[in-house]
Amino acid sequence: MLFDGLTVLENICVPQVIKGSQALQMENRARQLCTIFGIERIMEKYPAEISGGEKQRTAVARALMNHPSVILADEPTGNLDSKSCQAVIDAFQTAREQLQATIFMVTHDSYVASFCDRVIVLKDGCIFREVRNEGNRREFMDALLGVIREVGGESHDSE
Amino acid sequence: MTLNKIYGKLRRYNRKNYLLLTFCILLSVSLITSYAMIYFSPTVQNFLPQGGDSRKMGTMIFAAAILGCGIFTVYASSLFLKYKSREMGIFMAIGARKRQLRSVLFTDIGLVTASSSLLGLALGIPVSRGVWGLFQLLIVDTREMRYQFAPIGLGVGVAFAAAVTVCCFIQAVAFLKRSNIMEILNDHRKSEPVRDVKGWYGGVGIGLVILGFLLGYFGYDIFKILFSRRPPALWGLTYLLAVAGVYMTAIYLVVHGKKGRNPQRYYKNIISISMMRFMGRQTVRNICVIVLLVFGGLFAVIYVPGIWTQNQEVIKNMPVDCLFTYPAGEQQITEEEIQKLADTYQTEVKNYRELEVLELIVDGTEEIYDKDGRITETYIEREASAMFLKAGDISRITGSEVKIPAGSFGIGVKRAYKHTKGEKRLLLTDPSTGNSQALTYGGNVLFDASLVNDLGNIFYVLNDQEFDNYSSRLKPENKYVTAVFDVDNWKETYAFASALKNQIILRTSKAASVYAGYNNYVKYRYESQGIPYFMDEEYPPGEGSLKMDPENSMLSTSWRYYPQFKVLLAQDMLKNMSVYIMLFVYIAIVCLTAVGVIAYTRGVSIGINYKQVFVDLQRLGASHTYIRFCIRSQLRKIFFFPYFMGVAVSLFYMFLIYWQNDGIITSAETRAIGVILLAICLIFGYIYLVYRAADRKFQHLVGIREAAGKEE
Repeated sequence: MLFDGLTVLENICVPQVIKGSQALQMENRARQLCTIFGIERIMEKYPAEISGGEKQRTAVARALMNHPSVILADEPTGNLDSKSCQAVIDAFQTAREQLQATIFMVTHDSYVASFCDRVIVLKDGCIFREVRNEGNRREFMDALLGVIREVGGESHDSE
Repeated sequence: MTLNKIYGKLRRYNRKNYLLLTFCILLSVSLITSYAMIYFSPTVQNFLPQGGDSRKMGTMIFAAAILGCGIFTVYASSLFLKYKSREMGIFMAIGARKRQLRSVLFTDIGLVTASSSLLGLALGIPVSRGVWGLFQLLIVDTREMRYQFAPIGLGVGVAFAAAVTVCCFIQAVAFLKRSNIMEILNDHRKSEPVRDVKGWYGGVGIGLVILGFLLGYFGYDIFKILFSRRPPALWGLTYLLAVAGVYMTAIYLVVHGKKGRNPQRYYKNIISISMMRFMGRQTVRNICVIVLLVFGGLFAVIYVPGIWTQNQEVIKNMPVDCLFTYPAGEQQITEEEIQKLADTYQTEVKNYRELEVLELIVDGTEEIYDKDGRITETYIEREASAMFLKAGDISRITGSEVKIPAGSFGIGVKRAYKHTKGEKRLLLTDPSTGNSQALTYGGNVLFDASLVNDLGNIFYVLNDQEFDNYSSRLKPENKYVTAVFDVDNWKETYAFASALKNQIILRTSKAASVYAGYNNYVKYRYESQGIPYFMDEEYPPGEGSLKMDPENSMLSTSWRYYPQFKVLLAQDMLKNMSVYIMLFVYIAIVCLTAVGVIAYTRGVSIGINYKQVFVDLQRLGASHTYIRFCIRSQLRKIFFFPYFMGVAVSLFYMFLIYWQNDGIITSAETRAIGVILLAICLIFGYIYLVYRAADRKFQHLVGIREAAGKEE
């Protein structure tokens, strides 16, 4: 959730503001993140003036402000339309590729999950299966859907 | 299961919201009722002069208190409806008809307003009695301080309660008129953001405050000089410019944040600035109300030290310990009788002298107002009578030689005004012969006592020879006697001074029982034209506040010949000013209580509404110390910004009054400012305590107080 009274750039700065970092240093870092995530044009805009996808990209950029080793994301694409959903996926991929961040994500969306390197499918709080991406996303997604069918199929069979 | 039963259960569940509204209405109604009962009691009404400054100020501050209390009650009811909106939205979403909801909501509002208003009205009576009793106990208990029940006061309380009830119902009707269910459901989360404003906003705001006060306060002078008329009745609305200025300044202070030269500081405060922008309108409205109430409260407090320090100044500088003046024709107490009375009280009277005072006619300008408000200034050669002393007499009393050349006149002034300049020429008319003589200004003569109890306190000084010439011609009715003397250790002579004052009062004839501003020649001018003298009509000699009764404490401010004894001035001041003190101190209590309640409820409601923001901040890594910093920075804006704005506006207005009185800030006024600054510090202490309470509650609401406890 972004702070409504702050611009995109200021929102991204917040984690370092809390730490009391140097203004110039944090602004440079925030600008760099804006460029990476393609939101430099809206840096001075307020959350009410930008789209859902831009908001999500801003939130991801903010999460990366303190150079975290791991980002924990709980249903990051929940309630988003497909365009905004793609923006989040792109943002995470950028974070992974350009900033070497590890993203630990919880999701019910198999399409989003297909962009991950590893997926652990849970059922009733226990690990049901672990699936690894071998390089081809389409094949990986098919494999995931197969596992999900297995999870749902079993329960259907028992009815 | 009926809708009423479900609603009843929800009412029990949300009782805190009901209690908050009940408490706010109860507090405002009881404060307004109790104050109105004191203000409109015959005791106070008789004491405040009709059309006098004190009455105007009292009414003005009372109006501010009514407005403040009204606004905070309306604010409380809108908060109540905000809480209600979620419930109402759900009821509407599942098919409840508006008619059904109207009936339950109106029952709710009716029950809360009726019960709290009745309780507030009922409490108002004992509260007013209690406050009165407290003043009697702590300050003074004279016959004039007798408590009298005031039905008008109760009527004002009823009218206020009715107005509050009507406002609540209007809000409820507006609330029910809305039809967008999603909007209603989210209403309790709705904020009214304010965008950042430009840097000039604050400056223009301050400018408008100053302009509003200047136009409002000097409206009369401006219109008189430019248009030779009184300002129109609506001219008072220029004060609204000051209100607009306060609003703009409040917005600027709340939401303006610019990196400027200190980006580090900007980022440090960025969260609180952002939150303030998000809920800007509500906060700004709150700040404006608090500024208004602080202004009202402080203005009331300011009034008392001003009177007190002025009195102290008079006592300190008086050249003699005792002075009293009476018309020469009066059968007043003699030196021998005073000596005898002094012996009874083992007091030694020394340096007794009787000064001859002449009453001559002087020229002047009279302002005449017609029905359309036009002011006509007419120069009149024989305008009014004035008092004249002999230069030699003043030299003997003060010990410093007073030289007034022949053909000149001096003006008797007090120390604070010694550098002021008087008129250059004076046309003097001898009432016995009707001959006139033009005199030139011969300088100021320092004399730190008033001959009579007159607002102007002006008297003139003549060269000894000229004085004797006039004296030889004047009839006794144009002469006065001023008796002056010292006593041994004046501070210990209260009993003697009091007995002597009583003797003087009892020996005064009805003709001499006149009001402070009474002028014999003005009376003559009016009556010779067949017009009754307005002073006789407004303040009939020997009646009401001028009743020659030693127990009548109003004589000290109303009677022209009230004796000036240092010990009486020192010890009776509080007694004689008791009603003023009570009125102004109580209105300050009303205003400052309202300030505390408004600021506290606002602080707590921010905690309730924006808990999620603090949770988010913790998720982003904020420590408890940082969260506490953010909370306090919010609360400071709600508590301290408006307080200091109110202080600044009050001090500015006070300087205007002091300046307008006589064009200078006297040393008594400087000391009054010192006392007022002390009062400002004490009130700040009170505001700080409420701030701490709100801070504790806020931390508790966002869950960091418990966590801190566990950490310990």
